[in-house]
Amino acid sequence: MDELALIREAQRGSVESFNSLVLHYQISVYNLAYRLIGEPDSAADAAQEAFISAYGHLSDFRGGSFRAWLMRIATNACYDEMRRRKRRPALSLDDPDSPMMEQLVHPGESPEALLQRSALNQAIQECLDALPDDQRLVSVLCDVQGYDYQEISQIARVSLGTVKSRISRARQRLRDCLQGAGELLPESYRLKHRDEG
Amino acid sequence: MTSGIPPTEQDFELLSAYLDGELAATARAELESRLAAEPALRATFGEMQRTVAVLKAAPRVTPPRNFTLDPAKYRRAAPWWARYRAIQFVGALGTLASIIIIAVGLLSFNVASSSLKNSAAPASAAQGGIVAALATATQNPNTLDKAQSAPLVPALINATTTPAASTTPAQAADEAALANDSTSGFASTVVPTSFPPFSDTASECDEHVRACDVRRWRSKRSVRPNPIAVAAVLTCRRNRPAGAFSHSDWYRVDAISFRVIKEL
Repeated sequence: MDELALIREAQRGSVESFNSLVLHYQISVYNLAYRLIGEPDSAADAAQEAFISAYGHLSDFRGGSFRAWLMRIATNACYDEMRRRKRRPALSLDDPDSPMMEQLVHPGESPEALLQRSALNQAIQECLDALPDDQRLVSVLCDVQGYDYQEISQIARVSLGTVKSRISRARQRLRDCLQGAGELLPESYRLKHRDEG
Repeated sequence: MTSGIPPTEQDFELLSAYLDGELAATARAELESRLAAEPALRATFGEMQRTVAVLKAAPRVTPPRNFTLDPAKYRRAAPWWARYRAIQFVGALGTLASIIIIAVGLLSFNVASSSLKNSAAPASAAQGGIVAALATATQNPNTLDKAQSAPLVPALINATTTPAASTTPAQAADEAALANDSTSGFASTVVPTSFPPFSDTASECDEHVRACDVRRWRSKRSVRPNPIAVAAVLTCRRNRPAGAFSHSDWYRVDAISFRVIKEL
């Protein structure tokens, strides 16, 4: 995919070219929204708003990392969604019809593997939800989605030093939270307390 | 030797940056030394590694739907100048043409300036002879009749160098008119393009031009144009700075020294 060519065509008014970019980035954008907001429906609304806003502001993109630019817009959309909507309680994992379970299903995966991944997902999301918004953002971008510090600095609009300190504090909190999750985590992912040796 | 001091906030930040490969070489080496020597620090780093490993294992969630935009709803017209590639192409051609014209104009001006400066020295010997010949003729340029002026013109022609590359339309018209001016007796002459050296300063050039305005000389039938003065006018006009001459007075100029004799 020639991303630059698609961007140029989209800037000239080609919705089809922009939709090619949407298909390429929608999983990343949705996952960012889901990890920030914590609810699949609200995350979908925020992701849709993010792409609509990105299309409307394409003329503002003047080069550099399109991914970072798009994620910046998605972050703003997530914050708007969080302010606008009341967060719903997490759906029960025992509900086989819950949307979240459907979104975690991998083709050919056993029910046991699905349950294990669901449990891991729930534990991680609960610990992320407990973080302050600014720490959650950098933690998701760095540890969940794998962005480097420079891109995180562009997305979050903060200095590199701030990125480093927020990631550090987020990891401390997440360590404590995940250690407390204990049995909720699959055995291979459990973090032992220091006194357990 | 081990340290029992628990890691500080700063240690945690160092470990975090070290885990992500964001530490400078010096700081990294220092931290690695400490990791080797401090079990508590090493244990904390291990916990951080496992925490990050859990987060990286977070399941990637499939979006519930595609987020593509409906073209019918979101299609927008490109700006009119961007809609037609032909307009863009013409615009680009126009820009290119402007650049070429400006470049040619600048090059021509430079060539004209350098050719006239170069012609002054080589032509000086021949022109010195012309001056000497003039010195034997009448001292009053107004009585320089046809018999005396005609031989001077071929001598001037021989002293020419490469013509100036650029002339204004008015200058070109003057030169053409001079070449064909039967009343002056110069119908068969070629207008000289070089001239006895004189100063290039704007003020001196202006003086000569004021004194020897060709068009006005020709309108005064009682006075024959001085061929040397004619060449002086043409040379001055090519070389003078833009806007240096805007004056309309008349002067009589000494044909040899080019000093102003009298204001008419």
